[in-house]
Amino acid sequence: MLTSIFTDFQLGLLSFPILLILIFLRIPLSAAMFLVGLVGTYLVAGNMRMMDSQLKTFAYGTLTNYSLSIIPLFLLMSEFATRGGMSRALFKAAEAWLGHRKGGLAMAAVGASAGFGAICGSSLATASAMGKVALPELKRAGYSGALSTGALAAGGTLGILIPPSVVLVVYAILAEENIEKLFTAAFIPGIIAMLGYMLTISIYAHLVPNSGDSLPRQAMRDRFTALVAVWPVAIIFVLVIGGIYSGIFSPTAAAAVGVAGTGIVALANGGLTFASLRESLLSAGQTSGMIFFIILAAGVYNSFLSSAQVPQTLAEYFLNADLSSWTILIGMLVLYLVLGTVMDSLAMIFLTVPIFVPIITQLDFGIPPSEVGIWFGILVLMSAEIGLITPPVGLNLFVINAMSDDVKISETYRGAMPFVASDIIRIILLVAFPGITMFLVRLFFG
Amino acid sequence: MTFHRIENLIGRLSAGLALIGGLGLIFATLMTCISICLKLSRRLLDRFFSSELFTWAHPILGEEELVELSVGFALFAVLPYVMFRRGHVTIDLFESLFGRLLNRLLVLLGDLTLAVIAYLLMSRQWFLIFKKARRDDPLWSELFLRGNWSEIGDRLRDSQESQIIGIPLWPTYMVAEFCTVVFFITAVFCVIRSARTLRHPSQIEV
Repeated sequence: MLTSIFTDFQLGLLSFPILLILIFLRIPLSAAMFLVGLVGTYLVAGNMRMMDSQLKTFAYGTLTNYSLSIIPLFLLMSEFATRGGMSRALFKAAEAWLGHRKGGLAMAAVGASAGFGAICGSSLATASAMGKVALPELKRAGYSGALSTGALAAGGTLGILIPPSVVLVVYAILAEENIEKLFTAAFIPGIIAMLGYMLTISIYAHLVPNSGDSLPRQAMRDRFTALVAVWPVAIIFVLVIGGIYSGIFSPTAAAAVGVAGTGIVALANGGLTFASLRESLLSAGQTSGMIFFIILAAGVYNSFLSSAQVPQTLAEYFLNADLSSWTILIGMLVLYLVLGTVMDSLAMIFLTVPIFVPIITQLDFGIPPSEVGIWFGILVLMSAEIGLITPPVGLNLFVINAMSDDVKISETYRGAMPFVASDIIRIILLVAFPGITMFLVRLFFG
Repeated sequence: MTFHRIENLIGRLSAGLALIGGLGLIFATLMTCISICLKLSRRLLDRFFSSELFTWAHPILGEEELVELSVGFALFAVLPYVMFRRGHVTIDLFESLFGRLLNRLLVLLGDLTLAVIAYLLMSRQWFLIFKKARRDDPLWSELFLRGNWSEIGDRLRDSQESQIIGIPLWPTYMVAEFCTVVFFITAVFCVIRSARTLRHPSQIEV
């Protein structure tokens, strides 16, 4: 009946508004994509056969996929890292080196978040681990609520901007890109993000009086003592990321090494008891279960879209339209910024990447075509992560605000704004100079 | 009272299954690390001593397959727990606009959708383990009731093996199917749970 009215392509297009309505009606994202995908597949194929065979093999095939096994392992690594007490050591070390500057303690929080991000693949975990340690100290030092909560919420996004990163793994799966290359590409932009946030804090602290004053300068000796205390973090990072970059082991094996490393540190620091092991397993399991169910659902939905020829037709349309490649790219990135104000970053990526990547990779940006997918991945990651610190719905803002008493959410919103500006400037920089993102990839992978 | 008993039971069952699955993650971690250590020691032995020394020191054969299967088990095992804990991401943008009753109805609708998906997965995945009955063949359930084990055995898809170490795959399919059945049961329970909040507005839990 429906198929006699609509062509397959129109059905595919029609599925977007239906999906959005279901999602806004608070149907879980995975359930909505699954449902729309199955019904769509049935309508396009005209019978149940394709749907049946998908349902038969899809779950088993997806859940027992070696390159996807990395996700639960990275999540477990993040759990252990959070319980390992490394956030405190990192903050103390960063404070020793940066505390004497104006706004220095907030810079230290950002620096420590970056360090924590190097062993943790999740933004919320980074924000809450660093918030627990840094917020009381910032308050004691008389930092304004806006600056401290803004800096920590923004710092939390470094958890995912600096590899390892769960979101990049998801992008790699959806775009069929190489995880090693994406992790390599993310490194320099992640460092730029950290430096950009520090610069933002410095400007803010100079412009707004009494928002963040400097602490007494620490002796060189104390600084080095504090730095030495973070050696476990350095070793784990070198093992995991170095192992991936140098190709000694696969990303999944590297994640397992990371789990073991953070687990040993947590055990040594007394953070890993039987009860907390149980909690870590359940929490990592719950998040992975949630992500994998969306991966499954996205697979079903995307296979419907491609059987309805949606990505191909849209790509053709955009290629023939009288638009420059840059207009299309900027349009997509702006869409992420807009959607990010109300949507979860993973949800956005699941919904858009399968449509956007086939379009983007066929456009000319003056870099080799094989690099476009990697570069775009980093841009998507950066644009989507801004959503974590933009009001009204920004998860990092909520997490940090909930941890700090007597800071109003409006204050946190205001405090995050300078960091959003810093994010946007960085994205413009990365769009204008793809070489920044691709430098390490070209160096390591030739 | 019985509802709370069942709730308790399902909660324990799903958490217990998720924890057993978590052991799969730990197993994958340990095995990968041991395999890497063995691989490195093999290289050192080869370089500095002779390759005949400690021939048992080599990477674990089929390490990747074992990781796949144990992580896969962890993921299947956690599905009921995610369902029970309402772990699936929803976009709650309009929650405050909808009003209490509508919100509860929508939660019920979400659970119902998940339950339908769980049923579809469970009923289709079954055919990974057993071949579909042809037109004239008796159904699997009939064979089971008759106790006709030899024919059930014939229907079992026991020819598939993993590529490297050649483990037969049908037991792993059975484990996956078991977890999916528990997922379905939990999902049905969750539908009842959210239907109850429509009638008993005082007993809402988060």
